[in-house]
Amino acid sequence: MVIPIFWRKLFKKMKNSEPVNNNNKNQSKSSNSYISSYLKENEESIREAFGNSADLVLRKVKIGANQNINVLIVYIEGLIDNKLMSKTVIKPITTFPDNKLKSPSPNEIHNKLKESQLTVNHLTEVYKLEDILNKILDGYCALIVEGTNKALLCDVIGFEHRPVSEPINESAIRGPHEGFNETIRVNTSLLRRRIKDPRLTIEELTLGKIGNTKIDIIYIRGLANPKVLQEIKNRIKKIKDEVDSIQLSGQLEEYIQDAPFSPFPTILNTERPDRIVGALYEGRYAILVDGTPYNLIVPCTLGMFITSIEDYTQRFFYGSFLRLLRWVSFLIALTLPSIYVAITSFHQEMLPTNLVLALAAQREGVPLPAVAEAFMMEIVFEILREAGIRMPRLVGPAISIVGVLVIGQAAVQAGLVSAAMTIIVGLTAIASFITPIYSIGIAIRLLRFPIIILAGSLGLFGISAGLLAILIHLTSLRSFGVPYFEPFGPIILSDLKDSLIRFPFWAYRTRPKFTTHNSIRQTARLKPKPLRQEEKEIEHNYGDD
Amino acid sequence: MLEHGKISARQLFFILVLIRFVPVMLLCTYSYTLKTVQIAWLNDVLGVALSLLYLYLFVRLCKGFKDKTIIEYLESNLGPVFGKIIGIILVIHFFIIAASDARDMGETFTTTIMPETPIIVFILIIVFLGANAARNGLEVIARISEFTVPIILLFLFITISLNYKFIDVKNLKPFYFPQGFSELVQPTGSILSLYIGEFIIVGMIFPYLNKMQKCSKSVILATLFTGVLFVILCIDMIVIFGPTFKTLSIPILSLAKLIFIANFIERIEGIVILSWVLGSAIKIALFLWATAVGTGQILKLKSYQPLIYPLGALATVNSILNYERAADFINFFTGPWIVYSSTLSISLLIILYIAQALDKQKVKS
Repeated sequence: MVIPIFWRKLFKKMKNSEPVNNNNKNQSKSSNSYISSYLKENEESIREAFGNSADLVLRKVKIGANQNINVLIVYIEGLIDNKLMSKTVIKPITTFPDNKLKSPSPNEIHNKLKESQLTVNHLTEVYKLEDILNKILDGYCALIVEGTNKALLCDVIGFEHRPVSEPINESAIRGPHEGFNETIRVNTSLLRRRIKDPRLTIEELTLGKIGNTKIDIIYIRGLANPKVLQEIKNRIKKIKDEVDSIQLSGQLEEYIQDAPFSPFPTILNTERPDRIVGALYEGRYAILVDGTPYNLIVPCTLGMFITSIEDYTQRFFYGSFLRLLRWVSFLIALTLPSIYVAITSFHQEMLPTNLVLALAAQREGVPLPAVAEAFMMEIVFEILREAGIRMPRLVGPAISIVGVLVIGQAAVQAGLVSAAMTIIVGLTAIASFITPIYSIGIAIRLLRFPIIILAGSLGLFGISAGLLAILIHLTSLRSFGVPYFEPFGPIILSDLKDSLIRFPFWAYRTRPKFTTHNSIRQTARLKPKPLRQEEKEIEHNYGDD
Repeated sequence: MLEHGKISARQLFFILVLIRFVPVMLLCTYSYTLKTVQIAWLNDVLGVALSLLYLYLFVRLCKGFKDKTIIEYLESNLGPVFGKIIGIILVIHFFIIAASDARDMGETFTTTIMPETPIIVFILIIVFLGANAARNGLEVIARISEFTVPIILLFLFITISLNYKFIDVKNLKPFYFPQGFSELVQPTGSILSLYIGEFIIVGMIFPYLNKMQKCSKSVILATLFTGVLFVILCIDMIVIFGPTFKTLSIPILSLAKLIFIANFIERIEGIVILSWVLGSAIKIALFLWATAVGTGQILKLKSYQPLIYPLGALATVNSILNYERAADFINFFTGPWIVYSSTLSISLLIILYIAQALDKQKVKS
């Protein structure tokens, strides 16, 4: 009877595995129950739920006419603001005016505390132990008066966090210098301060069966497309009770993105509140994840990754110039090494004769074929880049000396690589860092290698084929229903105003076509025209002086 | 419906323009049909005018399709047997165009820039890319052509405008009227057969347009636009190359190679190669798509995507086996193709008239 035993084993396994799956949201015996009127019982069940953790504080205070009624105060050390706590919770309790009530019942004390005595800003009444457990983890403090079946939760949240400081990886010359930090409430307040309108909606979800991470979906009602919201919620709901926790926005991105195997990111991540505000005004959605300064924007297009706040803060000529510069460097970063490889190994006739001779002279002693040389140098550069990020700051100069002198100059002098190749690799590297969003730079850097191989084997035909393959992929991508290559893929004339070049603000009549139904942004006649009469009056006034 | 995407009339315009660009940019069979170079533009004008007439009638008939493709429409109105036979002929027609386009591109590469590489490499890669695009559906094909056409147009503009140094108007002379009708037939037929033989694909795209009433406008505009452009290009070639125009296998490449300005702007063949690859891959994608959707509709399949890669493989084999060498390819497109394609398109028009008459009768009864 081999098979039945096998089945039985399998069945046992499945049975065993079930409790693990259902073991979410601290569902021990005590937590689902209601608050007991005996303080001892409550104390024990809370201690048990936390496994008697060191930072859990349970304090008993006696109040009442004869100091005979116990009040249990529960909080977690480090999550609360100590000064605020002693001022608004401990002091009102210890100075409880018991002379007016001769022999107060526990319920009377509870109500008195709730209605007038406690001076905290935010106070709620709960009946379940589970609520207490969840809330004190957020930094609330719980009060239970002996003899009552309810508890008071006081908001005394205050924990150490990084102050709002300048964004580290996305800086701007003239834009605002505020960046997100790791605390979700601070981040939402940064957005609220910029959009002073009740239509700015923040929906909060908690994710994970252990971590209980907070996630806020933010949008402007009336601008954002409700179908996209539904889609976001569906995708998040799928992972809600399955994952252990969501610690990073990158983790959430991988769970909910459209094309899991694409090198291109279909969700934009940013640490700039102004970028998210701009996206919200276009009818997009922001997803904020607690514990990370990088927050997500959906749906997004390729063009958004090439956009920086700088394009809008400077006047539109300069903004357009920057845009064009970035698109050109996007292409350079993607294809320059492969064009060099293709031309030097297949199509020498395409270069002017002098240049061909100079290149040939340089390449004379180089032992490797151009494609291997390019590949090697690109990988060396990637190693240098990675080392530059990971190394301790004190060894920084050492790395740059090794990078510049040993690998650059000495390798050329030793004849291992040609000088032209180092120029090409350097230019490519610089061009790949010009993208304002780091994640699109990664895509370009990864796609560069297959194109180098194609160029080394098939010349310009290979490069064209590689670019076409990327183009096919880009046009078939969608981000939450919005074509990723819009406004170039499907050409949207009104959206082209904010793509390769940037039109002045008064020229944007419409919002992006695919993200919102509320498409009219402003009227057409906003181009500034100084009035002749006013001008003359000003001149006249000056003349008087 | 096998295809779920919808495209706009503007996208149809771009697709059609791209289809017509490809045979002009690649190994050009048209110049081989010319007897006298000086009146090449006249053949252009005649060919375009006749194609306009044909396409006007064809698109008017298309409007009766409603949500059916030409293959479904013929089958529902002419009965399963006769309708299926014509459907199969059409599908084979699309398939031949895809295969010969792949061969055209391969020959172009092997005769010009990479003579040592075997032709199968180019054909294999380009058909694979085309099949990949076709598998993603009509929407993707439309988007790529929308993105590509401006690039190719820019390149054409550069090649036409930057060669001003070499223009010699005397090359247009001696201007004489053709000696009899026969001299006009072959070149005009070459233009006409390419237009009408390939633009039949509108019958497959028609039900997937989001605004069907705009279809005729974009077909006519695409024909006129490409027609005018080719007349300009043709005159440009004549005034630059003179009688040698006839002997050039890829006139556009020769034109691009001439560009030499201020020791700086020169040898822009790189863009030519890019537009060859982009253009022909998208054309192959479109005709493979039409073949797959047509086959799917004849066989009443639920999805056409599984057919794409096998059809691509067949097209690769077909493109190799059909022609032994480049001369065969040129011979086919300067002779048999003209007769075959015009016969097919014109008889299709008559069959569509019959089908429409039957359709109207059905509605009445």
